[in-house]
Amino acid sequence: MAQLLDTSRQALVLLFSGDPALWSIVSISFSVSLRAVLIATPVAFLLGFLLAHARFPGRRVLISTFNTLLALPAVVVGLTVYMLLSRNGPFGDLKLLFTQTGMVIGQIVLCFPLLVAFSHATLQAADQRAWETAVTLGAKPWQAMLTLMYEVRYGLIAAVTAAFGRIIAEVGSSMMIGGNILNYTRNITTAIALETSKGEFAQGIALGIILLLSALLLNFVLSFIQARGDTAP
Amino acid sequence: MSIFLQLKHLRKSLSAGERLFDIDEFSIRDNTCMVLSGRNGAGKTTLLKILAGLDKPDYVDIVYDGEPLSWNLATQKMRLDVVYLHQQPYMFDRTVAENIAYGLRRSGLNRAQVDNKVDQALQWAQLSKLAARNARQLSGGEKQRVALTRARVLSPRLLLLDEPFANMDINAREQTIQLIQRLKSEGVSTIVTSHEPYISTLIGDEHRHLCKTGPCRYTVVKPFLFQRNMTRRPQPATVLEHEEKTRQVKGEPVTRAHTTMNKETSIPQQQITAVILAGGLARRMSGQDKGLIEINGRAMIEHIIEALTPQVGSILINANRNLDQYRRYACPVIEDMMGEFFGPLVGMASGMQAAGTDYLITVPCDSPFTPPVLAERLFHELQDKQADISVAHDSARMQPVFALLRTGLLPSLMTYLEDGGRKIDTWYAEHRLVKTDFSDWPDAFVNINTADDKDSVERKMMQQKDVHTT
Repeated sequence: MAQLLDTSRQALVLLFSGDPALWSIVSISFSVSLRAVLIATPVAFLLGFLLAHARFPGRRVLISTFNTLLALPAVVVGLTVYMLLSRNGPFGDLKLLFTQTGMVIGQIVLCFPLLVAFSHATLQAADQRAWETAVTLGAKPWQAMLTLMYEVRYGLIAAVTAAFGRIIAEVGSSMMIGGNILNYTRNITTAIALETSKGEFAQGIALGIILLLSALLLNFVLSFIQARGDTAP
Repeated sequence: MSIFLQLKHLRKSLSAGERLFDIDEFSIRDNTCMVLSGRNGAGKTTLLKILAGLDKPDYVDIVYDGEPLSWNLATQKMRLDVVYLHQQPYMFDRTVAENIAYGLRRSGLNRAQVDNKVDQALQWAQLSKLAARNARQLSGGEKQRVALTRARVLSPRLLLLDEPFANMDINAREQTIQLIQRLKSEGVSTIVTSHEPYISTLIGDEHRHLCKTGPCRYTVVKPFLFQRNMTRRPQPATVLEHEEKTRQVKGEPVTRAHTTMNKETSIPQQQITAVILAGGLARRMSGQDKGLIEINGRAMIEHIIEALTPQVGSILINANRNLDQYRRYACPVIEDMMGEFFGPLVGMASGMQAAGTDYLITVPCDSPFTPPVLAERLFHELQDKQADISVAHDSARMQPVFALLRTGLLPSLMTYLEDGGRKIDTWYAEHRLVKTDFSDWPDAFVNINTADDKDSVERKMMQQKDVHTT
């Protein structure tokens, strides 16, 4: 117990002393995950919209597939993408293994099903009249789609938050695809794994605190936005 | 007023494959308010959504401004020219002003033009005070006004209002009616749906009724649309009564100018159509078609036509069998518009539908002694008592099939029939009914039900002729 308190104290010292190595790790984590979410979200929302409002063969199968992929383990994604990107793999020529781009690809695969499933559920539950009203007032289909998404924006923001939370906290795919290279592909979670194996618990706990704080901040922002949504039922 | 949108052979099925409606022809004119009535589930909303291009029919031929268009081309036009308003309007989760600006922002106007138009529209609808409020927080009536204004700023040619008066108190209803009337004065056509048949007396130049016919409640056998004559609309009695009440409230003497009609003045004969009800089964006459039974060498219906001709503008024959024989009498023959031998009410409804006049007189086909004063007397009583239906009465009882009715009652009658009602008396009881005395015409209601009846009638007719000729 004493040891835990002691390492926590050391961790706080590390955090506030502005250790450049530590902050480099944090910034890599955020930049990779933000890029992944930004790329995945528009495509996933479009797919979610089509699943909710278009009727085409295979729609049900697709919905079930994405719901199942919610349970996809990060290491399995890591393994698969690793095999695809490795020298002998089909995309080996792109030389993306052990790069940040590779990590982004892995995280996109991880958060995509979640974004699709959540946005589909949200848009499915949206008021049908919103779409009809937009169209009858002269909106083109894509404009009406954007309007509909704006009407259910709180639900969609929650989907993005959940997706971001999932990929910033995953370790399996980042470790395998990124390779944990300092100042390049080492992010918070892979660093924690490394420091723990070295016995540097203070460093690990400091990183863990940052992860938790960022999650806390995210939740505050979300609940703030949703509270604003409540005032306009 | 020219037709700008015409739909032909419109068919729509429900998702289960059940036919919802099958409409031969549906036209919309410029600058006209049409009331579309029909029971819940008759397909009113679906029809409106098709007109707005929001729902796709199974099949339709569209003529737009006289030009036949494919469905895809037509929907593009309809989305520009037609605006559909939900029964409970949907408010975008933004301010009132932004809601009104929604369509304008997507119409290619610049920001200043949009702001300008929105300001004007807010004033027009007296919503300026609410401009910055979130539209979701408004009351039901305010939402309705925002929705109407939001549609109006787009200068549509046709507004489709789905049950705008449902769940509204009298004030909100009044305001909505005024808004619709103002829209009409601005050259916007409107279609208003309502399941209340009487809404058409308040607004509307045209009235159409969408109904499911036949004995199965939820299967559409054949659609039915009727169009009220636009130029010769009967003055609804309700309005007159309302005026009287307001005068009384104001303390002014009630002048019943419209009732002090000279009894000797002639009746508006051209505004009365007679329908001879020959659509029954005649079970007691072993299925013989009663109208065609010969009395003294001439079919019974000939005697009746002869008696009616000097009294009315035109005569219709309602028959379901032996149509060719009935057609020989140079009167239009109309079949029952619904069901199979549902009784005289369906014959009346078919008569009202076909008449095109303000009034309809019904007579049965088996009473050959039709009084020559029938139309005149029934009409005067109707006028005197400001009634909707004037029924003949001998000293003993009412003769419900000898009646004069306002054809404006058709929506009410259709609603009654669709609900499964078949009894004349019950339907009459829903309306202002006046009994007109015909006790001085004892033979008027003699009818022929058996072979014996026929003999006695023939004798009586011979006697009358003798009296007449001597």
